[in-house]
Amino acid sequence: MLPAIATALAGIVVLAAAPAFAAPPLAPPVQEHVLPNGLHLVLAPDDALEDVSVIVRYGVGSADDPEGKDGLAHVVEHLMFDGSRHVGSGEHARRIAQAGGWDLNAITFLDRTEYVVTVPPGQLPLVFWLESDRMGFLAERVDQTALDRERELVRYEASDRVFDRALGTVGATALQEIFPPWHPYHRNPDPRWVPSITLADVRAFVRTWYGPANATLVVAGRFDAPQTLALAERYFGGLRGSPPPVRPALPAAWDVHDVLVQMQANVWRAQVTFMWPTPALEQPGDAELDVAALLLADRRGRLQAELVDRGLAVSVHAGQASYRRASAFYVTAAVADKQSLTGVADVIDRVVKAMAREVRVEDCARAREELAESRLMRMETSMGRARHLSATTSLTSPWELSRYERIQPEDVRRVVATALVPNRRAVVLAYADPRGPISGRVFSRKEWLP
Amino acid sequence: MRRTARALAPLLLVTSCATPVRRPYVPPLDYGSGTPVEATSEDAALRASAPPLAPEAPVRPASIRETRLANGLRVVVLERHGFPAVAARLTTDTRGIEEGDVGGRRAYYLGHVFLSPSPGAPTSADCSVTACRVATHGPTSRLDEVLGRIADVVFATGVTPEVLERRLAQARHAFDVEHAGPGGAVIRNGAAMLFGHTHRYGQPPPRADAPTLAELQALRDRGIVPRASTLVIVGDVTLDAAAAQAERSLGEWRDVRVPEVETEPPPAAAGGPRIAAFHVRVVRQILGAVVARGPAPGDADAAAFEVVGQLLGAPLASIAYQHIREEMGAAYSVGVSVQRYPDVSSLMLAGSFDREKAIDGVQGLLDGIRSLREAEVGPEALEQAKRSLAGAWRRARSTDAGTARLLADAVEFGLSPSSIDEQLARYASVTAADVRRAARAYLGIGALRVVLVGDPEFLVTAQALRFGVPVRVDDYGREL
Repeated sequence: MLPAIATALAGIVVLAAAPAFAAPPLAPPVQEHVLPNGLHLVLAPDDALEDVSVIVRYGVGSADDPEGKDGLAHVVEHLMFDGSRHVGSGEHARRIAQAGGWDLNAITFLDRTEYVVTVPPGQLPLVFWLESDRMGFLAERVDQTALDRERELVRYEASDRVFDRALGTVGATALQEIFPPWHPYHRNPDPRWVPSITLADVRAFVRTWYGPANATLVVAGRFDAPQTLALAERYFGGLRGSPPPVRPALPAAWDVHDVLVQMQANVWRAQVTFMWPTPALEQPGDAELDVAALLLADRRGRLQAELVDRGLAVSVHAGQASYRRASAFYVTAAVADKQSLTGVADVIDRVVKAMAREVRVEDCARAREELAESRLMRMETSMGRARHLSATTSLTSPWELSRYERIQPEDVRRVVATALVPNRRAVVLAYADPRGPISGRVFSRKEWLP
Repeated sequence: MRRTARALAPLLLVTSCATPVRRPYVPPLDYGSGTPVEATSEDAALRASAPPLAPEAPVRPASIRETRLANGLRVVVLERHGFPAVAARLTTDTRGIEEGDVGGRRAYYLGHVFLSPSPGAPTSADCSVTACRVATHGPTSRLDEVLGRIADVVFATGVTPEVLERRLAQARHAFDVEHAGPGGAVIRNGAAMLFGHTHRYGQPPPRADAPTLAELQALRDRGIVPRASTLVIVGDVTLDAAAAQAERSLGEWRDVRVPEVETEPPPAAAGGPRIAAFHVRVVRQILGAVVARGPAPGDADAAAFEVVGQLLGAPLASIAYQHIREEMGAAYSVGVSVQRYPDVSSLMLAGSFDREKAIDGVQGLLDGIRSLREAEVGPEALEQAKRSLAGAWRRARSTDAGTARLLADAVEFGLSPSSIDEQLARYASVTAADVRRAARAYLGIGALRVVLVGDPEFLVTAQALRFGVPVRVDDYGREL
C-alpha cells in the first residue's frame, strides 16, 4: 500500500470534464502516483489494446552534458543496455526478444532520455525487473571495455546520422545560431569529445541524474492497474537515489540576430532552412506554432502553393520542435533545379510575414481538425499513448485533445508576429557543391545587428 | 533576400570548435568519493533472477469477410471494434502490364505521378513491379472521407495536366534522392547480382530517364483497374457498412481492359562477381552486405527462412546485433531485410561498418551464415527468434493499418486473407532442423553474393575476406 504523499493520497486521476468545444471521442483514464523515493508513475490501462508499452523517462538529456563532455548523456544511454548488477551484457535485449517484445529502444533528447519497449500482455514483471535493475545498479557494472565500445558506437552513429548523411549538419548549424554558446541547447554534433569521456564521468553522470527521483515510469495498454502498481512498488520501491540538481534558471531572453549562413554540400539538391527560437513545450505560443507549421507547409499550406506548386521547390516542411526549456520553429525547402536559393528564401520570408498579418478562419479550422485527428490516431497503439504521456508536462488534461480546439486565428497570427520575426532567426542556404562534404560545410556567415 | 540598409557585420567564418563550449547553466556532476552509487534493495531474492515469462497471449480471433462489387472490385473487411478508427488499403495487381520494366522504374513513376494522394490526406501510395498500393486511415465517423481519399487517387480527382507535369518533375527528384548515395549503390548491386540487369526484380539504373506522361497514362489505363484490385478495410466497421461505402466511393470505377497477369520465373542466379566493390569517397563508413535469394511467401519453408533471417540480423538479439555490433563494436547500424515478391524473395544482411573493422564485420556476417548451415541452432536462440517474429507480427496486428497491410500482402502474394492469423502457428512449428535445411537450401556458399561500398583505398583490403576476389563495379553493378 502506498503511503500518502503530501496531504492527500495520489489516487486515481480521471480526466476533467470535456472542454467547451467538441468532446474528445476517446479519453481513457490515467492514474498518477508518486513513490516515497520520488519515482513518478503514470498508468493508462485499456483492455481494448493488444499489448502494453513501457517508457522510463529520466529528466536528463544531451543539454546536460557538462563542459568538455559532449556526448556523455548519449554514451550513458548506450551503456544502459550493457547490463547491470543482475543483468548480463546483452541480456536485456535477449530477454525482451525471448518475451516477444518489440520497439526496444532509447532516445536521448535535449531535455530527457526515454527507454521504451512494447511487450505482449503479461510480461510486465520482466520489464520491471530489467528497468529497476539498471535504474539502481548500472554504475557498478560499467567497465572500460564497455565504455570503449559504446564510445565507438556513438561515433559511428554520428557518422550514420549526421556526417555521412546528405545535409546532415544543416539542422545543427541552425540550432547553434539560435541558441548562444552558453545555452544548454547549443549543441555540437561532432563526436570529437567522446573519447575524453571517462568511467568516472559515466559514474558521476549516473549518480547525478539517474535515480528514481528523476524518473517517470509510464505504462499504457492492456494490464491490470492495481497489480501493476503493486509490481512497481515491489521492483522500484526499494531503490534509493539523490534528487537531481536544480538547473540554474536561464535568462528569459537572449539576443539572436538575423544570421545568414551559407554552406556547400556534395548533394543532388540545394536546401533552404529558416529557424527561430520559440516558446517552450506547452508554454503560451507552443500550440499556436504547431498550427502555424501546418498552415505553412502541409499539402494545402501556403508554402506548398507558393513554392512547390510554382515550381520553385520540390518539397517544403515546417515544424515546432518543442522542448522543456525552449523550442525551435523551422521551415526547410528543397530547391528545384535551376532555381535560386535566395529566391526561395525570399518567398519563405514573405509568406511568414504575411501570416503575421492574417490567418484565415477556414485555414485555422482545418489545421485544428488535422491536429486533433493526428492525435487521435496516435492513441491507437499503446506506444503512441505512452509516448504522448511521457512527453506532456501536465496530466490534468493528458490527452490534450482540446489543446488546439481553443486556438483562434488571431492567436496564431499574434504568435507568428511576435516569435517568427526576421531579427531573431537563422537562415541557412546549403548549396549543392561537390567541393563540400555530403553533410555540408559552412563557408560564409553574416550577421545583421540591430 | 531584401534587406533594409544596414551595414553588414564583418564576415565571420565559423570554424569547428577547438575548445569545449562553455556550459555555465549545466549543473556540475557529482563525482562523490569516487565509488559508484550503491542503491540497495531489501529483496535480493526478487532481483537475483529474471521472473518467468508469461505464456504467449492468445490472439483475439478476427472476423474476416469479403464481397465483390459489381465492377469486380474485391472488398475484404476485418472487423476490429476496440478503437473508433478504420484503415483502408487498395492493392492492384500490376504484374504483366509492363514488360521489361527493370526494377520497377516505370512503376515507380506511375505511383508518384498518378497515385499521388489528395492534399492534406494521411494517405500513402506506391507502385512496384508487382502491385500498386494506396493506403489511408481515419476516424470511423468519417468512413466516407477515408474511402473518398482512395477514390480521389483512383479517379485523379482535380488533377490537371499542370499538376501531372509538376508531379513528374518531383518524381525525378525523388527518384534521384532515393536511388543515389552509397546505400542505393548497395541495393542496386545486390539486386543486380541476384536477378541480373534486365529482370523486373532487379533495380533500375541510377539517373535513368523518366518515362513520359503519355507512357504513364497508358500504363495507368491498362493496369489500375477494379478487376485486378482488392480493397482491404480494417477497423471499427461492419462488412455491410464498408461494402456500402465502397460502392458509393468506387462503384463508378470501370475497367478499360482486363489485363492478363503474366509472370516469368526469376532467372537462374545471375553471373558476375561474387564480391562487388563500388568506390565512393564521400562517406566515412564502409557499407557491406551479403545477399541471397529465398523462397516465395507461400512456400513450405517460408516461415523457416524468416527465422533464419531473424537469427542472422534481428534488431534485438541476433548474430549481427550481438556479435558484430555489441561484441566486436564494428558497426552501429547492422541488420537484415527480406524483400518479398509473389514468386521469390531476397535477403540482405548488411551493415555500416567502421573502416578499421569492416572486413572483420563482413566476415562475421559470412561466418554467422555458415554457422546456421553447419549446425542446428540451439533451442534458446530458436525460441527467441520465433518469439521475436511473433512479436513483430503482433505489432503489425495491433493497429488497423498494420492489419490492413498484412491482409493486403497476403492478397498480393496469392494467399488467403485468413492466412494472416495462421502466421503465429507457422512460426511456432519451425524446428531447428527446418532452420538448418532452409539455410542450406538458400544460403549455400554458391548462392551468396557480397557488396562493398566505400573508400577505394580501403576496399583493396577486401581480398582478406575468405570469399573471393572483389571486382570493381560501377554503381549499377557493371564490371569496370
